Amino acid sequence: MVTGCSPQSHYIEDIQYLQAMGFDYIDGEVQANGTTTIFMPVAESLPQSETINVSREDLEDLYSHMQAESSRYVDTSRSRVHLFHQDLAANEGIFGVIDTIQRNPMINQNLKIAMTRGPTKDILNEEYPFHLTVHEYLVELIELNQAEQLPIVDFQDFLYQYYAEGADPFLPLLEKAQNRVDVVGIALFKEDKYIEELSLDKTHVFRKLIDETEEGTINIDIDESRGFALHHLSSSPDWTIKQDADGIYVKVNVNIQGPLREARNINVSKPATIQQLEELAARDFEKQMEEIVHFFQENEIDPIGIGERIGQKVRNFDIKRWEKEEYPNLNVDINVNFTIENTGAVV
Amino acid sequence: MHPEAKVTKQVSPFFAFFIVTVMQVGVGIFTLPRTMIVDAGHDGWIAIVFSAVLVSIIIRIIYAMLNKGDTIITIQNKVFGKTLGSFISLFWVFYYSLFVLITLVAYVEILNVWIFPEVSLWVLYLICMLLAYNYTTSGFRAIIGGSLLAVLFVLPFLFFSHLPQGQLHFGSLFPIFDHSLHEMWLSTKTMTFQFLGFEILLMAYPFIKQAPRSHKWAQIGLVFSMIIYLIAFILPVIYFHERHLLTIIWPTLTLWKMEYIGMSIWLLVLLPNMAFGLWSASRVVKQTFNLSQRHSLRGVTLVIFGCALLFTTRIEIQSLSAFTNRLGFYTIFIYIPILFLLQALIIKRRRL
Amino acid sequence: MLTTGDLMFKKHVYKKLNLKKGKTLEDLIQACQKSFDFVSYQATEKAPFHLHYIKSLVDEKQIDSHISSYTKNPELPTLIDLEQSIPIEGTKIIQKIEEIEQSLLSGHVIIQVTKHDNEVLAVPVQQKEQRSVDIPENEFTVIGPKEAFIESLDVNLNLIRKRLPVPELVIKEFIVGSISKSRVAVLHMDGITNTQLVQTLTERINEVDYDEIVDSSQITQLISDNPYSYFPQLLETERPERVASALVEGKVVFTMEGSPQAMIGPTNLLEFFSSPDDHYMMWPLSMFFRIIRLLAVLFSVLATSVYIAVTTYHHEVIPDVLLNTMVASRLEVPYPPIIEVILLELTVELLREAGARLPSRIGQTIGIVGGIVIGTAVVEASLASSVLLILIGLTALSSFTTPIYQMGNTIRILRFPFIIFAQWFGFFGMAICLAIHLLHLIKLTSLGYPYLSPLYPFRVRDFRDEILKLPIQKLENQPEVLRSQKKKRFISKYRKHPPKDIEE
Repeated sequence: MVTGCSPQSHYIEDIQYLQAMGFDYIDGEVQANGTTTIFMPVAESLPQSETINVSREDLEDLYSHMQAESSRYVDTSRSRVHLFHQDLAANEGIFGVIDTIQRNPMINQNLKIAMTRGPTKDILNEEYPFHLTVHEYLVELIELNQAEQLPIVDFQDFLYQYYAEGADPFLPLLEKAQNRVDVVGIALFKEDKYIEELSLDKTHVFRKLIDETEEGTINIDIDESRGFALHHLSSSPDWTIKQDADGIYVKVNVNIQGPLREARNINVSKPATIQQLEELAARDFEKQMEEIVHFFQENEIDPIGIGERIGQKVRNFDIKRWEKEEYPNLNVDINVNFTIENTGAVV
Repeated sequence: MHPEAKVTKQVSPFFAFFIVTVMQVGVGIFTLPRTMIVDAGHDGWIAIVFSAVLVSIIIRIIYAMLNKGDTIITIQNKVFGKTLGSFISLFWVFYYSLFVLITLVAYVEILNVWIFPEVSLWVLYLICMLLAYNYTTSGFRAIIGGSLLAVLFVLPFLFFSHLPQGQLHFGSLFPIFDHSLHEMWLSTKTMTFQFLGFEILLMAYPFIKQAPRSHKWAQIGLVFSMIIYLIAFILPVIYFHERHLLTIIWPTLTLWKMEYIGMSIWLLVLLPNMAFGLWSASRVVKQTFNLSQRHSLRGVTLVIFGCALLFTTRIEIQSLSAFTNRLGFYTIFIYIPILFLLQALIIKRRRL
Repeated sequence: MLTTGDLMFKKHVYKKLNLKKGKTLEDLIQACQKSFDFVSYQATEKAPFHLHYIKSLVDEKQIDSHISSYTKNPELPTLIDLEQSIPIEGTKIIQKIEEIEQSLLSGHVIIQVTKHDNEVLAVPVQQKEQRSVDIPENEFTVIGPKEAFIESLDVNLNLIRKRLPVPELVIKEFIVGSISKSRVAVLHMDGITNTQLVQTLTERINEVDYDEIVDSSQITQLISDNPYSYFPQLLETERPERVASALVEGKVVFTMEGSPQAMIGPTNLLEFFSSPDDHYMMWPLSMFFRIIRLLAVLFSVLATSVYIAVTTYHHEVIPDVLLNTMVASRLEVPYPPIIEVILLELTVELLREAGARLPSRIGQTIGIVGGIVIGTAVVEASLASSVLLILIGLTALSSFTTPIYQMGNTIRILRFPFIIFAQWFGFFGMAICLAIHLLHLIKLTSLGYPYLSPLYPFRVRDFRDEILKLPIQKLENQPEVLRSQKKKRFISKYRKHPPKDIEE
């Protein structure tokens, strides 16, 4: 009777926080790796990371087995990064793990998730520069890259796209290099299974289709000696969906603007030249975007969420049927308006 | 027979606002988005507005009725005669107690799932009931004071939501009115449960100075809680996908940045809420059977505490709330208007 | 004076019942003669007059210069002659034994014609020992008047009257304490103060039946609405101008001979956090400082209990950037946060108590020893975490921002229930504790007026001088909650500004 009268206390210094988790797939078993930080009492010495590895076939009791590996109380409430190995994502799907996270109200749901090319164990066991612990390094890496070049996806966005019938999720794709981790693009999912990946260059273009962006760079070669580059491109997509007797018509206007920062063998002092360059860049973007949309259609995935967009405009719309039957043949009208704001400090 | 409340025990009409707000924005706000989305989907907000309109009409009826009588008890005695009237009064004891019970059970469930999984439920029941009992014994004015402080200082905590992380999908609210009338009606019925609680006015009426003037404030309270409900509904809808939201029991908490502090301090909103219920239930006993209110209050509190011990699982709680939902709906939308008509008839006949 | 008479009558009846009947002047003189400072002699062999007085209460120089010459004069044979000749105001001929006793013990010289005569002449020659008016110590302000009350009632009343030179300021006198016979003055403004309020206070002071009262705070304890509460229910101040403004607002004040403060009532919780400074500064500044003060109180009460709740139960709420600091500071502390907190809180209380008992110079040293030496040593020895030490220091500092000393004490105590509840149930425990205290505050009254006003009963118009602080021109009305007889304080006239070019 008495034991239930007050909650169980765990003093902060006695807890081993699993701050970054990784899930690998080895011989049909899910292996979970959790990185914890070992704090040092003296202010001068920096905290160190330590990894616990547990392999289990079913996910439900992964956490209790992690506890068995540690002498301290293991707590998952502060996990900030969850990594999934490509094999796991491709074979088992990752929703099982994600569901256990969202089911536990003690876990802060504000977390980053990503897919890795190599085993997550290698990433979590590494020591990283700038004296950062593993989870700090990974969170910073993902956050910074999402600000600069990746479309923003965190745990809740993944769940949104997973549950949405007219959209498919995608995650940042990481790969381990020497003693650092690189962002190499995004991994595209169908439901919770990994299907394909998109390279970093294409991710830039993809991002302009779904998000308003403030940052971005493009380099366009006119021929071998001539070319130009623009920085700090801001863009905003505007999707229009119309329904008439013939069916559904999807159009997107993307406005991109930015300053010119590099001009190789081009005289940019004339307005006419600028207009030509704008035209050139717009066509270039349109081509790339069309390629990406076709790529998605071939793979029957919809990371842009076109189905969702239609569902929000059209009454009584059967998204599921549409995604299956009509989406692969949908003609998306892409139109880019490109504006060169200035040519930098010189003409 | 009916003891007039003394002037010193009365409160100004303005406080009807706090009675209505505290009773309506109870513990339901945490589960609201999911229950609303089951039938009406993203159009749930229309159902919220619609049910607020219905409730507003009922409040009007209640005031029309009370302006001619004093409390529901005196009205019933007049309409049905003393024996039958007293018998029906028993129903109100049950009704008010049931609402205290449902609030208690739902709140303790949240505490149990979110913060204290290892604490025995009876401890939490006991703490809440003891505090609610203390609030009630301090008198009607003290409960009003508690609800005022709760509205002023606790409700603002709702604004600390996790908005920047992730993206908001304003498109989720469209297309507007994408559901059948039947679905909307089902949602409206569900929603009325959240608006219940203003029935406290049926007993509290004589404790309000110049009570007819408080009608305006009761309606403003209703509008205020409707706005809070709209915010509590729309935020999760634009944040989560509809199908995802269907799986989340307490979306408001998932979204809340201050869930641990907020959930704990929500106690201050629920205490006046439960105290009003206890107060009304024991008041009915006092007025019907001439028992002292303190004794009947003790009895009611003990019975509610005992009943609460029977509810331990989510499924039991859900069936209890479904039952309360139906009971509340029929009481408010069927019984009250009928009573109003009967009262009008009797008054007319007496004049002839 | 009527009430004083009534009171005397009451005491008279009381004495009659308790002491044996028919006490005479002779008995009184006999009783007094047991003390060495009682002087009793015949003026001269020839003159009939007998003089009695208590040496320690009278100014003997005055007797020598103003009384002796007349009592020795054989041309003045009766008391009436004597009364007309003695150049001292306030002499009176009295017969009642109680009055004689009262006069003798309050520094009068009693002059008797013959030893067996019951009619005497009382000549007031009190010796007044008092310190000079000083600057306020507990309620010091940088700007504004720097006078503070002293132990003399008459001087204190003078300080107040000086500020309100109108006949509407009514002062009634009471004698309180069956042995100490302390003079208590009750002040109010006729035509402003709600008469019922005055009646409540006078009734309560009349009912005080306690043998020895040496300070007005004892009366406060005896007349407060809820004697079991640890919230002060009357506002204690040592600043005459604070009293003056309270009187004009329609409040009542009482003060006592021998205590250097006045009590203002009714009061409310928020008033304890407003300093006289607030009224002397420009309103945006004073509003800012007042809000700072209120936040400081919240911090002071809640900080350590939040620390316990967070380190024991809710570590999820610690931001990532702080986790390292928090854990690193806690790592080597050998006991749980609750013990750590209670130890340090008690140490601070100890230092404060020691500082209050010692002369001010040594008190400062104690502060330095405690704050710096013990603090550093405790952290270096890993007996407490440095984060907590910072918190404790800040909470102590914040509790000193409370302008009224009594409330500062309450805030010191208030922490401990929160600490205990936080240890029991974390944030939920703190919510329980908060609920209990809020309920208590809602029920609490000060002279029958709600303690939580203007929050409850909710009066938005009273906010402008209680929580906010608006420009002085906006403070036209009396606080609504006091239900004063006069609602408006003044009509504010706005100066016309010359129109700007854009308006022409």
